[in-house]
Amino acid sequence: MAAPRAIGSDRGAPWNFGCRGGLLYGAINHHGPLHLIFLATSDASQSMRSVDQSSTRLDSTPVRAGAETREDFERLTMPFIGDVARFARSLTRDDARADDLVQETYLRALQGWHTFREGSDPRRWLFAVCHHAFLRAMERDSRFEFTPYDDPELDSMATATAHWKAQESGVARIVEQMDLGRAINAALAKLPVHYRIAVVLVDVEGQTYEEAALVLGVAVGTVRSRLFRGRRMLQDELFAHARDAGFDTASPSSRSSKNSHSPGSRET
Amino acid sequence: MQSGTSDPTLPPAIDCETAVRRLWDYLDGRLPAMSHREVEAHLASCELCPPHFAFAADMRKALAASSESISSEEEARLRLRVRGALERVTANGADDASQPR
Repeated sequence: MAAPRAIGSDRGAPWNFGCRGGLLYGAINHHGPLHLIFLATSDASQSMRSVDQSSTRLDSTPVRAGAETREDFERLTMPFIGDVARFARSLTRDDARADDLVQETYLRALQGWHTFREGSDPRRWLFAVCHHAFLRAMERDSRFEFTPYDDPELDSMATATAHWKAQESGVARIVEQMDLGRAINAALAKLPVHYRIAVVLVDVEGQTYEEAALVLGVAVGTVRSRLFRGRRMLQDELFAHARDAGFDTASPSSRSSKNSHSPGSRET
Repeated sequence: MQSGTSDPTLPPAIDCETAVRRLWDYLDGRLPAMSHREVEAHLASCELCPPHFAFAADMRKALAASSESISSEEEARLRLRVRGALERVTANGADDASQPR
């Protein structure tokens, strides 16, 4: 049989995708040994169809798993369907798309079930499958973009600087009075996908950097970079939302003189 | 205490830029102990930086609260749908079950 042919990879990330023996595969290698493999039909274009269309696609895709295997699979994975659904909703911010993503996740997970290592955490494994299914869908979406990350501490500083500017314009005061929860939902949906996923895993799902790194198959430092950038972008979206909604009504008198502070200024 | 000597029990003073560079690491509790204390001391003495930290902390709290709960009815409906899909694909793939992987 011909050697596997890699068709994509994430630099530095322990995962890859390839074609072998008429099968499309994806692999995640979290701790050295092969951790997870997805198998799909050789029709790559079919397997890469959007999540919204996944139910029709995967329903017609044969899965080499008998009823007994499916029972084992369901016994270990079904208790986490609520967690997967919540994660999917946080990612998609759309209930119908989230339901499709949950179904896609379980179908893909069943396809790769024979690679699940006994003793592994099924919930984390399902999150990893869900994350990849979501990425596959977003890659076909025009909103998909990937920006190289810079110094995370600069993003921290930029967050404070943006808040300082928002204080000066009065926007920050308005944002503080808004229904932040609703605004957060709208802002999250606008984040580029890699940043959104990092923010969802850590800030919404409450996972540690290390847990998020395992789900994403990236280094902890990468989680930190994406998280900090994502939070900064999220804050920018909140301020933009306040401005767009015409909330910028703060009078000049409401801007205190102390707001002449710039976080980058040298003070002790 | 003699004038001009720093209190050895206090962490070294840091400026605003250093403090805000540590904003997210501080809020996430991921700073080394000394660095954490330095930020704490700065926030206690600076009247300008605390609002930035407070806003960031509020945003983090709002994110944590944004997690949508899935009702038991929704979960049951989803479980039914997913089980149906799993049954269909395994039925479709039954003929292939004996093929080598």
